[in-house]
Amino acid sequence: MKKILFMSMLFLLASCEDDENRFFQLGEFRVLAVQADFPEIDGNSPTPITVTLTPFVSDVKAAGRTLSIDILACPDPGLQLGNEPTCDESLSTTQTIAYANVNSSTLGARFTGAMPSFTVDVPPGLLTGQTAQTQFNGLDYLITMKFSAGSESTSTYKRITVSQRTPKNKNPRIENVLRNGNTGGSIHNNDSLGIDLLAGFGAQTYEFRDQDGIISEKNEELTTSWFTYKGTTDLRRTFINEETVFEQTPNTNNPFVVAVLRDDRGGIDVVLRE
Amino acid sequence: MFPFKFAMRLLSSSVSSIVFLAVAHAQEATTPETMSAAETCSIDFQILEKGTRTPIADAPVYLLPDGVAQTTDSSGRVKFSDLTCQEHSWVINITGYVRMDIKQTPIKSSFSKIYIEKINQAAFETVVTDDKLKRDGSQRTLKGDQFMKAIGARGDPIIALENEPGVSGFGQEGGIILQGADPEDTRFYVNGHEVPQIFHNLGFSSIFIPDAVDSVELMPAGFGSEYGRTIGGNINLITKSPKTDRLHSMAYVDLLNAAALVQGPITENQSFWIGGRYSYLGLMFNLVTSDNVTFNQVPEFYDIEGGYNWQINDNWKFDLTGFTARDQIRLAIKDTDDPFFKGDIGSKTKFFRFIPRVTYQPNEDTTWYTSISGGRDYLDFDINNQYFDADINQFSLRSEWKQTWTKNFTTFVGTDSQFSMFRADANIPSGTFPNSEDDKIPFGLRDTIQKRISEDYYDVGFYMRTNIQTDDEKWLFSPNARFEYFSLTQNAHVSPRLEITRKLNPYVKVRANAGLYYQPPQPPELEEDFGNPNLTDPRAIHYSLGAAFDGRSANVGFWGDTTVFYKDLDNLVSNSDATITTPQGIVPERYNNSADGYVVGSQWSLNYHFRKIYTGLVYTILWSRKSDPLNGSYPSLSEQRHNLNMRVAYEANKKWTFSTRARLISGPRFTPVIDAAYDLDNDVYYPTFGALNSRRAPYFFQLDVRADRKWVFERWIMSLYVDVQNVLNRANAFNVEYNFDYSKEKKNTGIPILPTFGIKGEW
Repeated sequence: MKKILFMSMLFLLASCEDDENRFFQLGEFRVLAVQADFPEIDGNSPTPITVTLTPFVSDVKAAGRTLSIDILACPDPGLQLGNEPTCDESLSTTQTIAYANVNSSTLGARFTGAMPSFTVDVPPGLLTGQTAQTQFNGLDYLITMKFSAGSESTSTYKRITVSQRTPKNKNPRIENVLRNGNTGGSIHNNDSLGIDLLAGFGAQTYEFRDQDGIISEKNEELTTSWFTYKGTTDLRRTFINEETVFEQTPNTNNPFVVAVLRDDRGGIDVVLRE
Repeated sequence: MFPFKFAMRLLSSSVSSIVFLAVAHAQEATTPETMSAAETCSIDFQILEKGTRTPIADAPVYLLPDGVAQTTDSSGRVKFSDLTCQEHSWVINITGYVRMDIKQTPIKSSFSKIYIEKINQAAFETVVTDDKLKRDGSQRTLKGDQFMKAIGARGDPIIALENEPGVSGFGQEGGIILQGADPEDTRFYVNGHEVPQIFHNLGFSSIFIPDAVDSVELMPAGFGSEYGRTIGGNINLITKSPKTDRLHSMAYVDLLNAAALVQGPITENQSFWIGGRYSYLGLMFNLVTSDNVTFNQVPEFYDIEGGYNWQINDNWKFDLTGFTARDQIRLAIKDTDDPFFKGDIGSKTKFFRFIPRVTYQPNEDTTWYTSISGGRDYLDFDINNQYFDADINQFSLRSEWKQTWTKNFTTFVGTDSQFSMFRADANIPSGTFPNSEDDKIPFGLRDTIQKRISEDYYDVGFYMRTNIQTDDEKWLFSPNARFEYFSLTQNAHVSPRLEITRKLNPYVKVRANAGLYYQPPQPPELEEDFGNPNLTDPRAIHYSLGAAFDGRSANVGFWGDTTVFYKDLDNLVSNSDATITTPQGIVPERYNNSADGYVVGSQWSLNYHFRKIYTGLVYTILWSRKSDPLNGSYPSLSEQRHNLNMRVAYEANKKWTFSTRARLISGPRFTPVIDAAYDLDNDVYYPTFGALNSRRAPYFFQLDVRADRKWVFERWIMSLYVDVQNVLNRANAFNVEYNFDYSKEKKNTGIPILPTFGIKGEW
């Protein structure tokens, strides 16, 4: 507990770093998110389950260049225990996923958007031998992705939860990025930005089994990360009922923001708003 | 012959009173003859120390011109009878006090209070250790005057320990590091009973106001069997006995808090003290924090403490100490690098203890005491929807029988046992509990564990010590042993320990000791869902060889000590990334006992006092390493290779003292991050670490200056100190952190130049 208190005091005294502010400002190559069509799958399935993953990236400044991804997939090597989020290629449980290079000009006029999707077959039997609690709540199947753009590269990873519980997690959905509470108009300096969720795709209630076998309900907490072009926001991340204020870089035109919505269980949605 | 007799009488009372001889002679020649003796008067003086109003006993008071001396009694009173009712002159001249000349005309029966002033109110007290105060040669004892005037300590008894050899300072999470041990391996006691913390969580003050503390005992290694349950060291804080002569009061304010204390007699054989402190730390925090943080409850702490003494009769004594301390903070963080910390964070820790003690001393050879501590610890922490709420009932028993059988043979037999009832509701990330070598997985990526924890556990300890001294008092053998049973691990241990002391001459003493020490793993490390219930007890063997010398004469000269120490550690609790198969399925092992290690080093203390100058030099050098199958051999996080501390105090005059301190310390160790991957699900970077604790932050250098001033009035004293820490405004790193994606290192620096002050009134 003292560790959390100590960490929070450090954040208190040294938060809001310029470095991270720059990270949220688009221009250089950025991996924004990777969305799985099924963030959580059935662990009882006797056959592999195919999951489709869609990367979202931004590469504005380069204005068109080759992007590549090296993809590996494997059962979670034990991130919780301090093991690195990597898949050991020498193990038979690791699969290599082929991915064809693409040009960032295919991402759209803003060089920001979805890359072509790829699929991963999650093998069956991952829950064999696990505790009843782990079988119910699930364990992770890891997909590591090393994105390369020119000389830049970014290592990332994503989990697919394999569990027995139902219903399964689904991605949250943004209906609109609101500007001063409205859906219309383009973004300007000092606009308050918020999220309007698509009905039925907000925070889910899910079941959680504790160590004693007692099943209780928990609620997802949705947070939005705000990437900006030609401006900044006063909060880089907001809770669902929270707004952030856009500050446009002086003497610039056509700013845009990318809202990445997460549900804290692997569910993701991404929306670009101009 | 008269002058000869007179001189002999003076010599028998006080050396300094010789000065009076010349004065008396001079006045003998000039004072007129007394007049008629038909009517007689008397006068009753009470001699009190100016400011403190402490009665001065056994003080000679001379009536002029004959130099007739009377000596004060225990209440400082002295009576001159059969005087003529005319003006008379007296002289009071006591070593250490300003000479006082009195002219008064007594009436038939008169009474007069005389306040005499100490020659040097700001005198630097230089007694560091006293054999009578300590049972172990390795123990160091800081008395009140020492920590009150310790530069850089703001009068605090625990912060003052930084100036002692073997103290590596404060760990990143508020623990105290002794001789390279992990902070968790240092236990804290008040009057011999363990307390959860000796320091307020926010780390600026100990849990007692300094005026309530008699002394602090520091036991870094090689301590005796009276203490157990640790492979590191102990810090025991001894509270004061209340004053019994009159009602005393004290109040002070400084930059961070204000406090008051009252003490005095209740009846002839009963007395009390009660005090308390409240911090206004939150105001300071508001000055240094940004708009990103909103305090819903500013950081605050308080402590309340009290004591009661009852001298039942010549043989029996009862005393009671009670205290409570609370720390609280609640804040909202709007934006952070780790989304886990975004939102509301609140923390409240509180505990109280009552410690009654009965002491029976039928004669000088026999002492028996029993004390019981009862109390409760509260720990409430929440961050958004995660929380940890714990209530722990704590009881402990300490009892000892000391018997001096002959001049050379003394035995001590006692018990030191504890019982705890732990209840907690937890909904927190795994791996939250502190462990010095914990990995640094971002909190947001850890599994949340929700459960109610209910655990009763106890540690039983019995000890015996025998002191055998040779007739020439040159050798002292102190074999001692402790039996312990830890219910958490269901292990029993016998820990033999031995200390041998040899007095080489009146100035030099050498000692050697060795001992076996066990401690149970921390309770959370044994908890089945947070830790590993199959852990066993870490063990250490301490060896030390030391020498102490005291070449002072009349408090002038050199004194100091040196110790070489070695601690052999095994069965240490270490992190594990393995999984194990249980009947319930595959579970993480989390911890195991696969680590071992050692600490080796030497500590030196050299002091010199000459007239108005005191200098002190303290240096500790050590190597502390561990090894485990996961990481191989690596330096301990607490390994502080060099720690040099130099102090100079100058007593400019009887009111002012100026002091300065320079500290040069190896930078804290840390584990470098060599790579990082972006966690797309949690919007946080996951670091890849290099070799464990393989790098150090830059060395720490700090220069502090301090001025102390006292104003002594007849009935009260006002003291002021101004302490400027880090006068060079050097940016010393207390740890190294990384930016959000671990691509850049940054130093978290400690205090910039910080002028503080404190003002205290005693009456």
